[in-house]
Amino acid sequence: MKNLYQLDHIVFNYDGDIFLNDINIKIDKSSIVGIVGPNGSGKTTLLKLLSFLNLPHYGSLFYDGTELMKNNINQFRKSVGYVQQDPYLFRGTVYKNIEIGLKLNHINQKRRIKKVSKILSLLKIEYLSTRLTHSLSGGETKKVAIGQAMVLEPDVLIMDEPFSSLDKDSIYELEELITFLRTELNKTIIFTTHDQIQAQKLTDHIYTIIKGKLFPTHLINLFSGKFNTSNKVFDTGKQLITIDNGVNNLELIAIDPRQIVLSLQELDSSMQNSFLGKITGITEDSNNIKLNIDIGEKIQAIITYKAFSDLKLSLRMKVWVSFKSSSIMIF
Amino acid sequence: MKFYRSLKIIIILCFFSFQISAKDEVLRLAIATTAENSGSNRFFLDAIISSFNLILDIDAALFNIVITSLKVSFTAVFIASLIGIPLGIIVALNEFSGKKLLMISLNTLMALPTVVIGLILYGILNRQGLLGDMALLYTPAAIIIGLCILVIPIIWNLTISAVSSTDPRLANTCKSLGATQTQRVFIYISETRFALITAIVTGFGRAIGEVGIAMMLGGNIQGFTRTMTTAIALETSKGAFEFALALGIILLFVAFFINILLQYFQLKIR
Repeated sequence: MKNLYQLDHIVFNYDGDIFLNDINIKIDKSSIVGIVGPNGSGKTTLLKLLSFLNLPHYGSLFYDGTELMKNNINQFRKSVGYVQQDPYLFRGTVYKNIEIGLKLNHINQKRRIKKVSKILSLLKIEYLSTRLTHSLSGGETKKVAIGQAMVLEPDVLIMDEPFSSLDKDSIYELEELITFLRTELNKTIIFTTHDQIQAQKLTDHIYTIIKGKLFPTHLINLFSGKFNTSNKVFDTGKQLITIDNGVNNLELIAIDPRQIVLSLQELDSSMQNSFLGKITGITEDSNNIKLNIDIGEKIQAIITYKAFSDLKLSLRMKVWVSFKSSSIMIF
Repeated sequence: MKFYRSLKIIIILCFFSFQISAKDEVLRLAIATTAENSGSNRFFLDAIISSFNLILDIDAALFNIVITSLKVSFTAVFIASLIGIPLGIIVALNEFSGKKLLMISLNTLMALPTVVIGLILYGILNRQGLLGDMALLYTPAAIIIGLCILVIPIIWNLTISAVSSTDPRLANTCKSLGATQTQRVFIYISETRFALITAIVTGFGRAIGEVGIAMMLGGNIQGFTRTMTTAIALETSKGAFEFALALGIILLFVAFFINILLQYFQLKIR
């Protein structure tokens, strides 16, 4: 598969603060990519770069084999549809809002009518066509914004937190749409989310971004909180985790799900972290079993089939969750 | 005893007579004061009545003055809007060196006394001036130029504030929809239209109410460059108070009407 995006050592800073630090990423054509990370980690900044709304300060960004420069940024922008987290709609009707991009690109009226009605039916929002934008709900606004971006038929659709402030039905519809756009129309879709499970379900690749640094894997069990240096305890707000490796300042930790040991009785071992939790989800994941366990915080553990059957684990069962402080990644 | 009795009667009579005369004096004074008061009241009341009569009779001279005033003000504000609004949007949307200096200059120009504009343009437009050959001095065109210089900084500055306070998401939406610089200007005009109407009305208010430029560059020529404000100044000094008052009332009505229009647009836009 050919790379659509290639980012080499991208740095983006603003007023002396580094927003993106040495980003290296390759995105394939017709893939669905999810970017997860806490607030203020640089997700939106990265999406703006991928949407060609900003130029990186250092490093090179290639799109479809061509390097992004100041003089071709406008050309590149036409290939990408960008939907903001809290989209801005123009005053007037929904129809006018979807049509505006076509007008700005000098598409004649006949083609405009055709394209707009196609988008309205694709998004199932024909009934909103004559509604004024200020009377729309959060979910409807999001759909209209997606329509506004999609009507220009971009190759890539980039969405910032598309699932936030949507109800269950709308989330399902949007998931269907994303799958449809990729499978039927061969679009590349990049989106950010807070929901790791959703990201896993929909995407081909997940990247985690923390403090402007991108990790090419999906960091599971990512917790933010405060670290108390005197007793070496990291407080996530819901659970206390012991970290014994001499650091003084940390705000984020990630616990490797494969390093988590499950047992029916509390283990008498050197592991400093041991919690009693309840199994809330069991899924199969390429020869392994993925378990969601509630230990105050929701934690994910990956164990082998053998371990799973030996322990005879089942849903809502109580289980001891233990891990060493060396299995914790700190940021 | 008889003497004392007669003296007593005389004193009492004197007292009464004094009281009566004092009463007369007070009465007379009161009548005089009332008369004077009613005279001054009548003067102002008569002036108001006459001025309304003038307005209702559509006095030709008065009509001409009002039309001249509206014509120069509207033309100047129209030209100033064509220049000030796009410039305001471009300055607000772009970062460049000297932007802060430009903003300070615009703020200073907003407080520019009209006589100073009149004075400078007089120097340029008079026969010995730089543009003396164009014979613009003492024409409506000269007033329009002066008013443009007065109003452009107001509209420019208020447009910058209006655009700067728009939602930052709008800029991203414009960019991602592929809007060119010119298209962005039109989108911002559409999205900030209410604030821009306020800017235009503020500019119009300044233009129609100013006297320095109209007097110095227009010359207050009857039927040609006489505006409402210059006419009020002239007629008051001549003693034609009714005429001046009629103009004052019309000036107030124009302001009132413009605000009604503003309110109407505000309701319509929302």
